[in-house]
Amino acid sequence: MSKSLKGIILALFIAGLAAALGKVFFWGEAATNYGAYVPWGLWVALYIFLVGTAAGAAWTGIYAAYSQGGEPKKLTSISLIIAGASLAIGLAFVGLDLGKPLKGISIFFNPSFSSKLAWASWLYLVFFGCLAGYFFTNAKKGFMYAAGVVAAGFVVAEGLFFGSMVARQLWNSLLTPVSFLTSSLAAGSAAVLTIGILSTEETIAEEGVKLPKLVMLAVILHAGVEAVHAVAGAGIEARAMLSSWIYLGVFGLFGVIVPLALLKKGNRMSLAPFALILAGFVAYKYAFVRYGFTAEPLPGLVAALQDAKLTMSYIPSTVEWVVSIGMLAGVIWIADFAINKLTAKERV
Amino acid sequence: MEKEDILLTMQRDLAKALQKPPEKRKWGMVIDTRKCAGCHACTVGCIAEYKLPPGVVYRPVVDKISGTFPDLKRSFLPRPCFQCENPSCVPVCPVGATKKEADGIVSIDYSKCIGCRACMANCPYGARTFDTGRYYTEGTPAVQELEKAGFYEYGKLWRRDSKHGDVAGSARKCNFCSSRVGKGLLPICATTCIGRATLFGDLSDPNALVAKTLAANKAYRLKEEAGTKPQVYYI
Repeated sequence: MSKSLKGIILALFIAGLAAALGKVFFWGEAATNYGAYVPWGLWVALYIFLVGTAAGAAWTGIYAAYSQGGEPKKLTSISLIIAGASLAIGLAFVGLDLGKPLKGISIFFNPSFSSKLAWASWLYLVFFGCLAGYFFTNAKKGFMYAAGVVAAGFVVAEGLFFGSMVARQLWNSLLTPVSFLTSSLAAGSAAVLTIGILSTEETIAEEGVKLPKLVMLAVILHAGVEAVHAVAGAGIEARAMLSSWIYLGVFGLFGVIVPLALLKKGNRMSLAPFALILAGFVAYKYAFVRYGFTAEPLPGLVAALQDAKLTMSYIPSTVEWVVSIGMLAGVIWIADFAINKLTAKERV
Repeated sequence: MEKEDILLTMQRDLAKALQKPPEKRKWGMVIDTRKCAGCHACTVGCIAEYKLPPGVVYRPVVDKISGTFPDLKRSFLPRPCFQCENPSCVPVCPVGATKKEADGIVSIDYSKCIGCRACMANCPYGARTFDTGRYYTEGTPAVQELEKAGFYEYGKLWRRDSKHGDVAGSARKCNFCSSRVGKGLLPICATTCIGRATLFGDLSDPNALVAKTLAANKAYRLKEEAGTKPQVYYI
């Protein structure tokens, strides 16, 4: 990665961090645009995107090891670094989204395991433990597989958390955990290639030759799940999502069709298709969260009392955008920093 | 016409119900929409009782117009929290801040709530709103003390005097005025209703006005298909 690009990414990350601190300590919820009837927005979308990306990156690392004889090599380490950075920033997003960000830690001390979110949270901790085991012990292979299993656990827990919500017609389906798994693999494998090409192109060229095919298969698999969703999806929420420009345009066209076409015809080791897939899957997760709140809980409820936080409309605020772009840049910066450290250590 | 104001009848029913242990009571409401004039006194009374901030409402009144012109019918639907028998908001809470109490009230412990809003996402009725820490008099020379004054919910005194306190940043909802009820007072919405459309009491007592009214009328509950079994019935 060029120095100037690194500088821009770091500047974005710092701006995002500053805005995040402003939200936590000064502005509070006034800086966000979600409310009572659309209680989740961009940050929750990015949280589930990054959690899925972390899992997918871990599985990509396992695939890289498997395709090279079963022993984890440099690409597996890079994949797990990306997984760790994604999960850390994903958790930062959900922490920021809380009404009481400083109390979020209580989910570990006072969990209610009737909530799949509590299960997922504990599995995040175990996942970080697996990463520590992988990087700081000699039992790399064991911890690599354990990380993959734990990642599957938290993706399923997240999928079931959303899928079991009786109040949300769009999410309340067995397809939800399935789509969480397929979208995780697609986003995670695309993230490994995107950050890998940016950070250490030579490693990707040496060890990642088979990865573009994995990405393509994962994207096609997820598109298949979404096609079933489109057919089976009934109700105002599903219709709103399936006909939105975010879903059809950004996800469908730029996140699936264009990158698949580029990968089929062009250079499979170029950055563009993988970056497009990532952007497309961010849009997909946003559409999934946003359009879950299309229908008024009771007809006429919004008109019953007028307030900016009692509406069905939601457009992310400036602070939400600044934090989002900055923290996403943070995933790249942290991963690149750690990959460079790893590469430098190996050179010594 | 009733022999006495039904508030007195419900008051006696309440005193009787409070003699029973909490697990033997089943608090419920019957709202007779034929008597609701759409005056919003319940909404305003509730806001005053709990010093509710901007964006937080426990009992809005939905204005419904049905039929086709010129045969239109206007009706009103007050919407408290339904204190569901099978509340979908409870199992999704990752920290156990919201739970079903022995007497059927779905409570929120503000000191435990982390503000994740999963309960809000999974309430089919939109009964929960989010306290973002705002004040009506914010931006004026001084936030008025009355907005920071204490209020009683779930048997505790809470204060909303800091953006980083327990209440701001929490999900909030109607709790059938559990603190008032515990002290033998009817919920504020029942007492302020000019049409006496809101009946409150122990549904497990067949002699209570609320149970008798329910038995004598064809009542319905909202969104039965969600499987949440609301404890608020409409006539």
